[in-house]
Amino acid sequence: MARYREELEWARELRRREADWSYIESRPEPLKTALKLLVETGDLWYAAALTGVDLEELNEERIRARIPLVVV
Amino acid sequence: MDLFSLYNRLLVPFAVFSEIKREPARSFAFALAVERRLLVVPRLEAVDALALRILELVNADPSIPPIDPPEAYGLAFAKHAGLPLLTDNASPKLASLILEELSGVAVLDSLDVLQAIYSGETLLKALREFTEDTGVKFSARRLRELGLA
Repeated sequence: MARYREELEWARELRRREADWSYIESRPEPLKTALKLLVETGDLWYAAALTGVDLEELNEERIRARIPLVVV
Repeated sequence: MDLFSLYNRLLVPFAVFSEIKREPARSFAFALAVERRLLVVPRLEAVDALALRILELVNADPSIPPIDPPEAYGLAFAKHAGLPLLTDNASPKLASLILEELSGVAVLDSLDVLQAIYSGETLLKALREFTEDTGVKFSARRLRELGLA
């Protein structure tokens, strides 16, 4: 479990580092918040559900915002 | 699609399938359904109780990333049917390792699947293409363990 926790934290750092923050900041609400939530959690469904953004739209925006989904 | 060199069919719970709303994913899923390579699994009472239990157990354990309802249902169905669950989310994999209720459930991610299909240079190429197409990146540690990084 400790290994997975480290990997999940590494994944979060990678998302923060690789995300295009100027693109994220340029998006209207609630998309901007959904993308920020996605960076922090890595959970597409959760970020979409919490903000009311369509799941597939959020995934397309994720790719434009260069937020990687990380397989640990 | 090379995935079908490993599996004859994909079973997709209705809760997951209903989230495929946009093109071209929707047409692709329907084409697979027409070929009977994708089957939509209806909601089953026998699975509901386990899915709810998984939601409760996983979301009560701070050491496991939260699990969403469609994923919990997929995991419960995998246990019910004795089939592997294919997902890139970490939560189901960790839950299957920790929760006694899920012992024996195989949870496979894209890296597991790609390395089961390809090897050597072909695997490296497949990983590169997958990352370019989807924006999915793989754990550096796991790539090192496979001799791929």
